[in-house]
Amino acid sequence: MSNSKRIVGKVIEVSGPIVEVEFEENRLPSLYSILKIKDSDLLLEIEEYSSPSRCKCLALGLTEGIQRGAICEDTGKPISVPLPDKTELKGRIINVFGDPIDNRKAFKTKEKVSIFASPPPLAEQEVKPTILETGIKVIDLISPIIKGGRVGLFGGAGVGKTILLTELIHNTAFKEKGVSVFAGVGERTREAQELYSELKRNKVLKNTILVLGEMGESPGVRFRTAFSAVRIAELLREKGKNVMLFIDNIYRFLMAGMERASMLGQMPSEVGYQATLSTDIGELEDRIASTSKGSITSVQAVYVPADDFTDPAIVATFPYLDSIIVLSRQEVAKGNYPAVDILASSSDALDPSIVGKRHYKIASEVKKYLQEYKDLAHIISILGIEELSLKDRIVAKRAERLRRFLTQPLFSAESFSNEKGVYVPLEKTLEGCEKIIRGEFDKADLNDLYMKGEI
Amino acid sequence: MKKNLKIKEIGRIVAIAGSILKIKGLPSIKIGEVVSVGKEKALILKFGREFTSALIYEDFVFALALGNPENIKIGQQVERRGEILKIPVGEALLGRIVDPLGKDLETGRVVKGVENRLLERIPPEITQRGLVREPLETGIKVIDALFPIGRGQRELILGDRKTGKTNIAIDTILNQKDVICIYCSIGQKRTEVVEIIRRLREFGAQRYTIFVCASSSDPLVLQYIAPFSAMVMAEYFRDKGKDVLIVFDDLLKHAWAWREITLLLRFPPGREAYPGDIFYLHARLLERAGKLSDELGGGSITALPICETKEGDITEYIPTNLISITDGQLYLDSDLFQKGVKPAINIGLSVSRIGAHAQRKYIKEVTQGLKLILSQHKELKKLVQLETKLSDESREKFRRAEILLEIFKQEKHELVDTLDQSIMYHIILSGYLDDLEIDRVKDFEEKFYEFLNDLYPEVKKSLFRNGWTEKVKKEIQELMKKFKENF
Repeated sequence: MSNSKRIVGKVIEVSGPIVEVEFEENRLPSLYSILKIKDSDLLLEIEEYSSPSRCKCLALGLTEGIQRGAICEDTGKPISVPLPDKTELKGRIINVFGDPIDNRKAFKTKEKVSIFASPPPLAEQEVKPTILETGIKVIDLISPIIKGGRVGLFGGAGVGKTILLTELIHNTAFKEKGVSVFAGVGERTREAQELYSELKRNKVLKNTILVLGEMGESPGVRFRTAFSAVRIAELLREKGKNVMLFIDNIYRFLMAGMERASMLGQMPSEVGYQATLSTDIGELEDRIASTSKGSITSVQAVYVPADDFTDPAIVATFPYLDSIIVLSRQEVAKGNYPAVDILASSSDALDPSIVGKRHYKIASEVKKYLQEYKDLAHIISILGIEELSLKDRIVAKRAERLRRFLTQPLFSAESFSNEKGVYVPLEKTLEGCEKIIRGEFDKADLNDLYMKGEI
Repeated sequence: MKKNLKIKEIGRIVAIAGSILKIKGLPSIKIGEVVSVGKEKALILKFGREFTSALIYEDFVFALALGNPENIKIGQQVERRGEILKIPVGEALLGRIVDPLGKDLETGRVVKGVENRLLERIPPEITQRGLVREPLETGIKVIDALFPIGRGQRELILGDRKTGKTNIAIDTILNQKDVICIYCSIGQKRTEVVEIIRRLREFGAQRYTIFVCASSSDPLVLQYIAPFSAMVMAEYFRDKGKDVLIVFDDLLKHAWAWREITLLLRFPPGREAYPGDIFYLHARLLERAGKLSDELGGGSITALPICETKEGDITEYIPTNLISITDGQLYLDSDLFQKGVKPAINIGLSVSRIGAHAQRKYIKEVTQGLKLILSQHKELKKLVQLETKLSDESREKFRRAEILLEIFKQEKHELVDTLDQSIMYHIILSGYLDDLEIDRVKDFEEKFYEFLNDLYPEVKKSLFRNGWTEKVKKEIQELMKKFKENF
């Protein structure tokens, strides 16, 4: 905006986090503009116009201490973030406004751009189905990641979601020589802190930009943090970079949207979710796209409330994901790390025309063994493996060995396990599985396959 | 001249509904300010227009009485005091029972603190935090072994009414030696609160404990403020580098109080009529707990929020919110409670996400083994009930798990230190008890601790100092032999 004189209004109503501001009639600031309250740190985002002279705003913090009649100044801009090619964002932690929150030096350039943007036009969008190798055996084999695609990492808390996310940052950041953007949306600050120290320890922090709006922040901030991170990823993509975008957690983003809608008094939909649930997720996901200039590959953690995959927020998220990785507590209990539930995980890329016939066949074979083993598990716990028929005994042996082979020490878990992490090329993973399926390891001790790299 | 001229803003009460006061006037009032109405005080929570009749609206200020609204009359004058609500903090609160405003409920006087602090504060940023690495031991075996709690952790205690939630919190307080404790009671019956405090005092926890109480008969707004007051008091000690334990009993009632207030103030209701900021309410409270970095003194606030469930449903709105905020949960199962398993902690549904990093080495090493023997217990039990014959390996596993579960049973206030616990777990895992009948396990346990502490205290010392060395294991093997001769 070019007007030198800022529009000024005053606070006439505060009702919880909702603030109404009065301006001169028909001279209201633009929607989503940020207002500053004089003598206070509080910022407001304009959400609705309630009359020709009034704006309904969402407080981006607590309203404690806000005075009746307080002067509000329009900043003339919506929430904005610094340009990653003009500001050194790598290795830094920033908040929703793109300001550093890591106790280090402030940014020199003040130039910022709005977080609102349209998804790239269809003609520019481009996804050539090439596979992005992660070096994590079970993911490369069962849920291969498409470069420029979207990956969903489903799981409850405490099943190793954060460790796997960190590992993906670690392995892909090294290889792609690209940039990673991590968005911490509505999760615990403690987790972000653990991630931060892990990234630092693994020396991948210098290629990572962290954008945080964790659960101690107001719903308005948490909701917009996802957009701030996506905006930075988009700006990097436009500069020809291949970006890895990690979002933890997409469910919290939708929940913040619900809280926000409910505070604004909008009519609720199914189980209290916002009426705009599917537009909210659509607006975000459609921007996470790849173009002829560069790509955004995203890995999104999705918390499944009460393990209910029919929850409206989960149902709304599913269609946007190309690869699905499900982490399970049962696998954790058995010590199979990373704790991927192989039978529940899948990928659109697991198709002979994309991964090739050999990979497809091996992956199907592995799933078949594990499914048959699952059916036998009950009998084994009663009678022991030796009582099975010869054929079933072979199935059980190979399934056990395949599952053990698909465990692996991770770089990001070194501090817990004292074991060096390994990176396994896809070819070696496929070879290993073939050998086991051929029966070369039928006599091997299970422990020889456990938490190893190549065999 | 002008400087000395003080303009006093006044308002008038135009409507009273319950503890909600509707006020005209006060043109530059602030949210969160405390105003005087005669001898009573009230807290400002909202201002803005409200329709008085069709198409006519007026501007009002809305306050909640901090005392008894019956003492407030319509038309009464409201005066500004010019300050946002602040809470006294400091050592002077230790040992006292106070209301959320810091008034000693036994003497009736407001405690004079070192300073007064605002209720709300931004949770520590990433770089201000340290990692949770030191244990906060509870003395409750199943918790210390399977769901250890670290200093700076938030561990939710949830379960139906009368399943022993408060007992776990009380025992944890009783087991502390160098930790300041705050017990914050929200929306409970007065008689219950009195009983809890009596017990804590009886066992000598008064010296290092602050009791913050807003019972169900206290003004609504005090119930809403209570956990924030307790947090402010805790932060004072944490900022001085101390470790603090804070119990919120319970946050479901707190959510109810906030729902009641917001509905009365006509905030738009959302899911289950809770306001849209109900998650934020508890998230911003509990995010203030945690561990500070060494540069900031390394103090910590460990929080044990309690949440009541209905018919064991942990997928309800408030319980799921709290589960996703905290670093783990202890789920108390009423079926287990009825079967006499106390504490009635459901092992499958409980979790501690970070406690293992904070566990002492000697107990951590045996815990792995315990998890292994418990891992298939449920399935194996079903098979045993069907009188299925198990494989030898499964049978041994099942038997040890049964003994372990028997050991986990524990009466309230009978706390066991983690060295005694670790030795007991080692004994089970080594198979020394494989031939013991289940109904003699408790008897064995009691006598064994006595035997160990009276005759072999140096084994514990050496375990504490050197961990699980071959020497310690050997000594335990020998003393088990001796013990068994007389048992």
